Amino acid sequence: MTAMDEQQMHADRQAWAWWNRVRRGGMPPAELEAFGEWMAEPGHAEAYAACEWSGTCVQALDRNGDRQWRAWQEEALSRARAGAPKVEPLADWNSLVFRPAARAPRRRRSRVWRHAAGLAACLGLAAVLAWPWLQQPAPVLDYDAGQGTREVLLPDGTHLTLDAGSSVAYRELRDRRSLELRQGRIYLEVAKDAGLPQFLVRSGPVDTLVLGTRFQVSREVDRIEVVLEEGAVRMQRQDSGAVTTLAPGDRVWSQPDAGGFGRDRISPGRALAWTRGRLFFEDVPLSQAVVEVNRYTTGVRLELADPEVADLRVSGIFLAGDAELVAASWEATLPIRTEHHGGRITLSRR
Amino acid sequence: MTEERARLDTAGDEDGEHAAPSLPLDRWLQELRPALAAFLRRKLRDPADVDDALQETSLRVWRYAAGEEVRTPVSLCFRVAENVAVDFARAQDRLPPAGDGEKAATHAIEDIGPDRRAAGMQELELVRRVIGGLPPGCRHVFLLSRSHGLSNKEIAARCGVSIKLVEKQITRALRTLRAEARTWVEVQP
Repeated sequence: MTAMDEQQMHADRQAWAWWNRVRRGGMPPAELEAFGEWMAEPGHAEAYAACEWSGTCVQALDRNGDRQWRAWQEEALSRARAGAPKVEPLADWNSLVFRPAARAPRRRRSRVWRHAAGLAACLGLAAVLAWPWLQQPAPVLDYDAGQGTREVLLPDGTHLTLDAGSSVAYRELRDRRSLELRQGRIYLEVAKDAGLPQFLVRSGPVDTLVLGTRFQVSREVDRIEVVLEEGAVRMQRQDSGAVTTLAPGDRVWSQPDAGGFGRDRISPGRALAWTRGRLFFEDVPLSQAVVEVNRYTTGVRLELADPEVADLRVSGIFLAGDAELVAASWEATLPIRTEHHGGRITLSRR
Repeated sequence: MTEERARLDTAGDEDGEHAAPSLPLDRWLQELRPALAAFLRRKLRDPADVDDALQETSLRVWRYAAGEEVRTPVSLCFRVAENVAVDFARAQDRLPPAGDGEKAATHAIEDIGPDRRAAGMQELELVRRVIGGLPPGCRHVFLLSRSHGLSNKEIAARCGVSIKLVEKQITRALRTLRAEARTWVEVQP
């Protein structure tokens, strides 16, 4: 690297710092004088011009945001994510969630079955009485996701992704694999194998029978919702007996006050953004976005310090689990100021 | 809500509204006054000329872009101040003032021609194309800095590279943008 490059890098770095300071306004006179003197040095005005010009253009492109531009932003974020130690193991998320459903290793499964047999001997009839719909007692595997998403490889080879705050119980029976969703949202890539029994997701009064592979089920109080990404699933209500089959891109939900199902079409990529470690916002109030961001953070949390910013609209794709990064990107695009106080970041009007 | 909010809301309208600066030019002139004064003190031979030069700068900025939106208001103010300082020196040497064409060559970057509004979208397209053409690593670093607002230190830590390399990539991106901008300005009618 030549001395010239070093000088240019130095000027570009300082120009960027000045630009960030100047565009926010409200500089005291002494600081403004320092800026004027810096600008008078050879090469600095040019460095500042390039910085201001490209910076404003980038902001405009961020706002206009065509698809290609978004993709580049995403790519840059993934790059930042790869080296960030504090984000949960999301780096290999894509390959894990989206590789074709693998058949479970035989040995692993037989161990489960052996375990099941042993447990059956101990529990005997009691278990059958406790769960009358079971034909054979089986170990129950409980999975809870605390803050942050959690991924699990079930004994049959099914990939299960739990959203923050979700809780499930999994049992393998002779004629079916049963996953009970107690609360929250899950994404499933069900292992397909001729030798495996059918896969059933139970959530309240709704059973979802899996005929294909990739889908999500969410349960929020009494609303149970299924989004199908690929393959086919069938939903059945135990109360009314209503049955419906989903095609990819379908979103179907049930609520206790209606006997049937509600249905619409949705972009699975958007609905399933959380499984890729992403938060997808489309014109939502900042107050709501903050709640969503905090759902996934284990360390630093965001706080609105100023009611005036609560209604600012937020759009875009953000990295889940990293409140600092989200706050930094909001500060760059919204009229807000962030302040770090140890475990929290406050957002207020700039 | 305020000006800023209104600005965000109207961004992307079809009328070519884009990247409006956060303050109108006259507000910038007012805000930057101490900075421009310090700048002119360094550029002028006689410090007694600072007030006159400041006034001349304001006038020229006005004449240049009164009522119009300029993408780079800060750079514009300083560029005009620089030209004013040059003209003061020429006057003292009894030389004729420099023509506009002569000056434009020095800092062509922010001067995007008289039909700015119409040219604006093409300008964005140019920036988009240049950024798209950067090597991926360079583009990532540039976007993390300029679009996502991360500091160089953060970028270095997150991407697992040295701060030096981050700065190098940013300078490289800026240099490419600068070079492209120059060609582009030259071919404008």
